[in-house]
Amino acid sequence: MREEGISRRVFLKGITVLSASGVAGISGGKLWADTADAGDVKTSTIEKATMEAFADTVIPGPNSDPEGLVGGVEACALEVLYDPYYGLRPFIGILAIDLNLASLWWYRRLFKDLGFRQRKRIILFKDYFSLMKPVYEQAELLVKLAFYGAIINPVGTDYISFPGPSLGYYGYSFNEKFAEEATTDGNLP
Amino acid sequence: MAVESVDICIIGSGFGGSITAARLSEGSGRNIVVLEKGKRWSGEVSEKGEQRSGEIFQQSQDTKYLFQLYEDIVGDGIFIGLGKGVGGGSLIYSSMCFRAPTEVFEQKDGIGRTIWPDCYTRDDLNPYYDIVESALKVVQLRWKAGEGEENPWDLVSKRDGVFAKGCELLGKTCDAARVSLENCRNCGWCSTGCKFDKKQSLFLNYIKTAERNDVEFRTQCEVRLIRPVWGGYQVVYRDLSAGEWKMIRAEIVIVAAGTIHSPALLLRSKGYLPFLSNQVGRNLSGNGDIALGGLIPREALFEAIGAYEFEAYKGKIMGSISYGWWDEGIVLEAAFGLPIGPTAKYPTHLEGASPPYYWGLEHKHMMREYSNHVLFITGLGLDGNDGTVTINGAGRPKVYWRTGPKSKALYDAQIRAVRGIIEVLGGTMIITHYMKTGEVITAHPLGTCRMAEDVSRGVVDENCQVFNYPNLYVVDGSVVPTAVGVNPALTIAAIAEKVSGNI
Repeated sequence: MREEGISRRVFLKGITVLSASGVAGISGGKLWADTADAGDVKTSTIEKATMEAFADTVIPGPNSDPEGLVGGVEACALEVLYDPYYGLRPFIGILAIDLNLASLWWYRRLFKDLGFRQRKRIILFKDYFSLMKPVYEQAELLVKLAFYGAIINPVGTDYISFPGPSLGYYGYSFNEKFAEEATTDGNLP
Repeated sequence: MAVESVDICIIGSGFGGSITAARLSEGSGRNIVVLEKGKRWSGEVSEKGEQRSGEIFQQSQDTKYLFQLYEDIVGDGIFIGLGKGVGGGSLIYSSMCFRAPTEVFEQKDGIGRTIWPDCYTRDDLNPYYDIVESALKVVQLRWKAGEGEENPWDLVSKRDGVFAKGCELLGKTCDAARVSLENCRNCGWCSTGCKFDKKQSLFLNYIKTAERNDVEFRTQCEVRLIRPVWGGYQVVYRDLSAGEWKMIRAEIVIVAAGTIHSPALLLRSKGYLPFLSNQVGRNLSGNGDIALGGLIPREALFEAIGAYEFEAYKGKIMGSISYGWWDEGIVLEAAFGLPIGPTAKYPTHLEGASPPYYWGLEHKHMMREYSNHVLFITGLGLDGNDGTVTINGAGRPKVYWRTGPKSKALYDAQIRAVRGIIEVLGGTMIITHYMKTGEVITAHPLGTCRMAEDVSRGVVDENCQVFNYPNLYVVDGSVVPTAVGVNPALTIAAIAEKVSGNI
């Protein structure tokens, strides 16, 4: 049975992958990034599939959530990840290469072809041990921003039952006093 | 470069700047200019048919919008959120308005001296609190509607009810909050600016008065430095919209750029103001701010209050306050934060969760409960003024915070108190940013140009005049010498009212 935790062997593998990804990222990142830049985000590339798998791991969607509910991909997280405003776009090529090198090393498959648990394990490792940790954190943040911030569509806020913009509510109060008050007017003396 | 000449130049338009602008303009005939770094904002709907100008508030979590309205200061050990625009912090504040309790003014330093100047007591400030409360239309919310009343706007929300129940189960009190609202729609979007103009931001009162008296508010003007000249001071600023450097000469200069930017401006100007106190930038207080909370499962909630959900997003974003722990220098307030706060900006996770804490299935499932079962509680209190503001090579503020023993004891007590509330309600604590990292998040920075009896202990005197520099004043949160324990807006405003009479 495989261990769920990260063993020393896996850690060392990870460090090796990391070094390799640094070199490969510098040489290959531009090529991959150009591919994505050339078309819009909807263009099918390995990078796009990798980032979709990434978004689906950060906030699991129908393919990864046993309950089959919406996730980062359905919230159009890719559009936010690639939005130049957020500044991550130049790093996405390298991020995708880093993820794929790690998944090839560990599982002999591309990141997009891995199961949820395997993807989760790789990103979790990268969160703690990657030199690109800030890039990973920023990418995770943008997926969450897309989902919980309803940047493109409201599937994420619908999921958490947050109605978003509102003209106001009636029935916002229990209309009941639950505790004694310490003051007569809300101010301490 | 031509130098414009005015009687009074005010730098910043938050509570300090707007109130002094309004008061100094009354019947004086003085030529007053206010320089504001941000833009002009207003609500979308004018029920009085007034002309709208500037940017319009939106109910949006998009950072492209929020970063225009907020300024985030990322310091070393501290994160600070500030309002940006004409009206400063009043644009984004929760509208909670409390008077600082008597004990606040009696706090002592390490060798037993009272920190606040002698003429600042609660009794002394009460008349000014009265004036500000009247101008900001401050009212106390209610727990229950009167008989026959239908849908009154001024009730506390369901979230406050759950919080109060938790306090009550622990034998503690909970008061309905005092707020500066009028006919609130209870939409729950106070923190992105009230698009219905129900929250009494300063552009609806003091700024309106000032502009009626011909005070000129100039937006997108970032002040670089102040230097003394014959008969006054010269203010050098950059007009960000035109991309030009400009200068104003004024007899009186009032720095009201806020707790972070006022000391930074003075430090940038130190070459021209060599006799400034060495206390500039020291004694930063976060007003004991801490964000805490917990998840209360459906059944436990029903057992506590007889309802399965409490729709935390409805109502004012804050509406209740517990003074039940004031003997430990703490107050607690139930709050609602927009979902991007605890997910993307300052991530949280449930106590006992396994990695990955901030993403993945477990986190997603916790967030599913966000709107109806997550109770956030903000702690405030009397911290130890452990922070410092300095400037970097480019003259930008750099903020440091190292939690000292007094602040640590405060935060520990706040966590204990909130844990008590969450657990008595049958819930599980949520691990928030401070609990995870020890880094402080505050929306109420105070104290970096401390008001004091003499130059060795502070930056300004009891009239907010900078020591050794006549007619140079600082009037904003930075002069408040200690934490005030409650939301500080009303106290900053009362100080501005008080000193305006002496300028």
